[in-house]
Amino acid sequence: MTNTPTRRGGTALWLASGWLGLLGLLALGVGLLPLPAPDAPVGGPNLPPFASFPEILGTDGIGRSVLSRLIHGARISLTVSIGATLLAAVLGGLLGVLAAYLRGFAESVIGVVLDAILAFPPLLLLLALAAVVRPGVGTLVASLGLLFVPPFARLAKAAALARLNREYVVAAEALGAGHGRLLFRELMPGCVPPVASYAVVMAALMIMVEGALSFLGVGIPPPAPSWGAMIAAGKDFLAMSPQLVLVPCAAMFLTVLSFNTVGEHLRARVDPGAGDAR
Amino acid sequence: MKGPLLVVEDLRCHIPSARGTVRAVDGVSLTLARGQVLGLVGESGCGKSTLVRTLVGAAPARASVSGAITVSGASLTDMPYEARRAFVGRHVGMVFQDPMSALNPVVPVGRQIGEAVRHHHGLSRAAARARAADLLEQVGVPDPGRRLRHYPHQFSGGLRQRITIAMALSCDPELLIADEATTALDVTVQRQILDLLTGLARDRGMGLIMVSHDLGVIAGRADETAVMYAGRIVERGPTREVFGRARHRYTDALLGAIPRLDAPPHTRLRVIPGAPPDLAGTAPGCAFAPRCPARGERCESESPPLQGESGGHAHACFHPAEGETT
Amino acid sequence: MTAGALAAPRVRLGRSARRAAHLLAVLLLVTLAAAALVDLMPGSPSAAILGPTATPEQLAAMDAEYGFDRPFPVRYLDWVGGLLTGDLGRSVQSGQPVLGTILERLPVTLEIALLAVGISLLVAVPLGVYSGARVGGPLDRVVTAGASALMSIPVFVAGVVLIYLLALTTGWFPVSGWAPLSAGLAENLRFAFLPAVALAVGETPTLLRLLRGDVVATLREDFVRTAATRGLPRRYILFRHVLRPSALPLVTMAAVVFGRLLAGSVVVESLFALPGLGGLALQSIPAKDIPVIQGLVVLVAITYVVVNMLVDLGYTVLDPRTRAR
Repeated sequence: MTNTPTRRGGTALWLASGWLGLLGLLALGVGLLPLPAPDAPVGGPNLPPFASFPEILGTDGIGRSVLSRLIHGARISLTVSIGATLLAAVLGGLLGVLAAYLRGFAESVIGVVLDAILAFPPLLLLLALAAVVRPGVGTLVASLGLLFVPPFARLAKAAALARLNREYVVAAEALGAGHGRLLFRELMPGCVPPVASYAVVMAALMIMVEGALSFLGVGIPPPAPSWGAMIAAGKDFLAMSPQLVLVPCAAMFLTVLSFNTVGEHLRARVDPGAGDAR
Repeated sequence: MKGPLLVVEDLRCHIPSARGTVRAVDGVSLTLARGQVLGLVGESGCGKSTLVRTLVGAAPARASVSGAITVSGASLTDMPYEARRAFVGRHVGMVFQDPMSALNPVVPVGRQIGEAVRHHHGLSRAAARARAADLLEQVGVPDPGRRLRHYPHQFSGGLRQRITIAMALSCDPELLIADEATTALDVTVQRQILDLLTGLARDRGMGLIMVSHDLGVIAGRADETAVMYAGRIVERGPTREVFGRARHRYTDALLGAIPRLDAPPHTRLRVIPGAPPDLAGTAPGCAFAPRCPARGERCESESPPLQGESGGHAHACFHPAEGETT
Repeated sequence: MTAGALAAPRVRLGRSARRAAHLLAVLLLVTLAAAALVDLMPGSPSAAILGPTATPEQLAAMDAEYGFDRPFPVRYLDWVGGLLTGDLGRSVQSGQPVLGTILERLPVTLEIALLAVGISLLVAVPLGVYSGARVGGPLDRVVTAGASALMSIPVFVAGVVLIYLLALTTGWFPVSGWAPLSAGLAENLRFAFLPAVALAVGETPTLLRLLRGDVVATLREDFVRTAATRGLPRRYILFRHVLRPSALPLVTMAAVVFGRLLAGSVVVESLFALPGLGGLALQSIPAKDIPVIQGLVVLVAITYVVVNMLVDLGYTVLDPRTRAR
């Protein structure tokens, strides 16, 4: 018998995967599309949507193509969030498994470092970093990735602890397997599915944080397009041309929702008992 | 008031499951007079607990229930759901097996005892407190005034069960149902709780149903005993009769499985062969037939009805024992 | 396992002593990292602050005043010493003491964070209880889907949409700005409402899901059946017996959310132009006002650590099951 959540998630799951697939294709193939440059005016400012082709979404406050900026923005959002998530997942996964395997002093040290990172307010720390280092895709990926190591480490540690006492690990140890073999061949593989499915949920969070930073003007520096910056710039024209804000808002919402939908579906498949650990 | 306290007619509770319909209660009829104690015995899984839960309207949500239940002349089965729950709350008290899980761990016991009276009789907070203290005193909890504020984990197992009894008594019920009320307790405490229950029933003129898998619990205390097997009552009568002159082969076997002090040393205990019946089964005939030493052809094809004898002793067996168990 | 032997001596320390040591270590790392912010700057901080037009004399004066040129250990100890006595230095921009500047801005942030937590609880408690009471029912399905949707709305999206719908289109609430409590409670709330709702949007699902899961588990408990056979009304059972055991986890989560909002209100404060801590942070960044930024980061981090510690303590004090007789 198929369990109900899987089946009920059917349509929503397909729609979510479809949106993410489309977005991924657009982001990868943005150079091949017949789009105007995202950072140069193509016409008058604040042209309404559907007034001309191909500017079906109109132009922004300084006459740039909204459609082009939206798709170029997707590329940046996805690059930053996926890059940062990968960094956090790999680092956090390794630290978590190590903490579970080594226990004792090493576990305490890792725990203190993780708690210290957790204590920092993510947004404030990112703002502080923005004050001292020049923002760019590299620095954003590095700082976001490091900040979100603790939840991954916690998850990986729990997963590794659960596997540490299983027969096959105990058996491998009894057979004289070395540390490396135990860690990489026996423990790690078991921790990949929970960490990977959690990563999809975390990618959604990363998109939101990256959006917030761009919105505050400390993300990818202008004139590079990003959804957060589009919303921030558009809010001055909210009364006159609300689509300048509402279109990137909708894109952002759909993307985050899709990541969450796919991620939670995966998590339910990997561990049916998993609660929500945000 | 006239008439019996509790009348149950042809009660059925069938629970759908993956393996087919479980006939947990399958045509049970009962009467109980005021001030009477009825013992309900049977192996675990015979449907005793489902029977009493169906009585108080707490049958599993998916179960289909049929039959009639009347408590002091009022027909429960004709009442709408919420009215029935309120009626049962006022007139019937329940004591469950595990006193720890039957009490809310994060609510002081005083409030748990008093909340039902506050709701059913509109007592003030202070009056409910006084009543709770009074009830704790009645069930033998020392220093009741102070202990009202305590939480369940601060009491011993025996005291906790006394508290659930106080809860059951809070609305002056006419009928008290104790479902394996002493099974989870130490043997030394069991007796005290049983004596408390029967004493309270006599003093207050309540009807009491004691459900147990343990014949020793019922023996000296129940006026009447009903033996349940596979969702049916297979034998019923005055306790002395049922224990002294068991007619149904199952009752006979149950009694034989009790160790006796007056038996010669090294007497082997009799064991009932086979396993308890599968309530999801649909085979015709007597449910005990596969384990019965006296089964005949008829037992395999026809279900024996409960037939009366003189003195209110009834049994459902085609080949009854002659009585006088050894 | 071999790991067991390594862990053994640690266990003797006792739980509270170990927690205290852990907290101290966390605080040490937090202050070290905050102090090290200056060292991440390329070139001299004074040059970055004063800009390319600064004369060598001005640079030297600033280095002397703020100690940017001193070695890290000296600077760190000096700064932590100040932190312990409540002296976080002076703002580069205004010359005012950092602590005073922060405390002046704190009430605005506190108010919208508290309001947001209040709104979240107000929505999450009834919906969580009733959707958990009928899993798979129509309300539960709507609430579960709604929670997933709300979780996917970034704060600034929520804020902008709220401004568009409730301020620009209908004119019910002001678009931005702030009225202090001294201007009257009604006026104050009119300005605080939209920012608080924008913050609450993302946090409500967290509380809702926690409570719903708890309610589903509690409803399987025997004491719920006891209460039902006693004829207590359904609403009474749900809110007195089923909600009660979830009160502590719920309060804990609310405290964590509150801590998160204290630091997370930057976006909302920027969007609504509120004079709170977030606004202060935003002003300080382009001006490279390092002392203010350091002060903010370390104070919020300490608050977070302290809130977590209090929640931990609260558990043992408040839960009747763990409270000693």
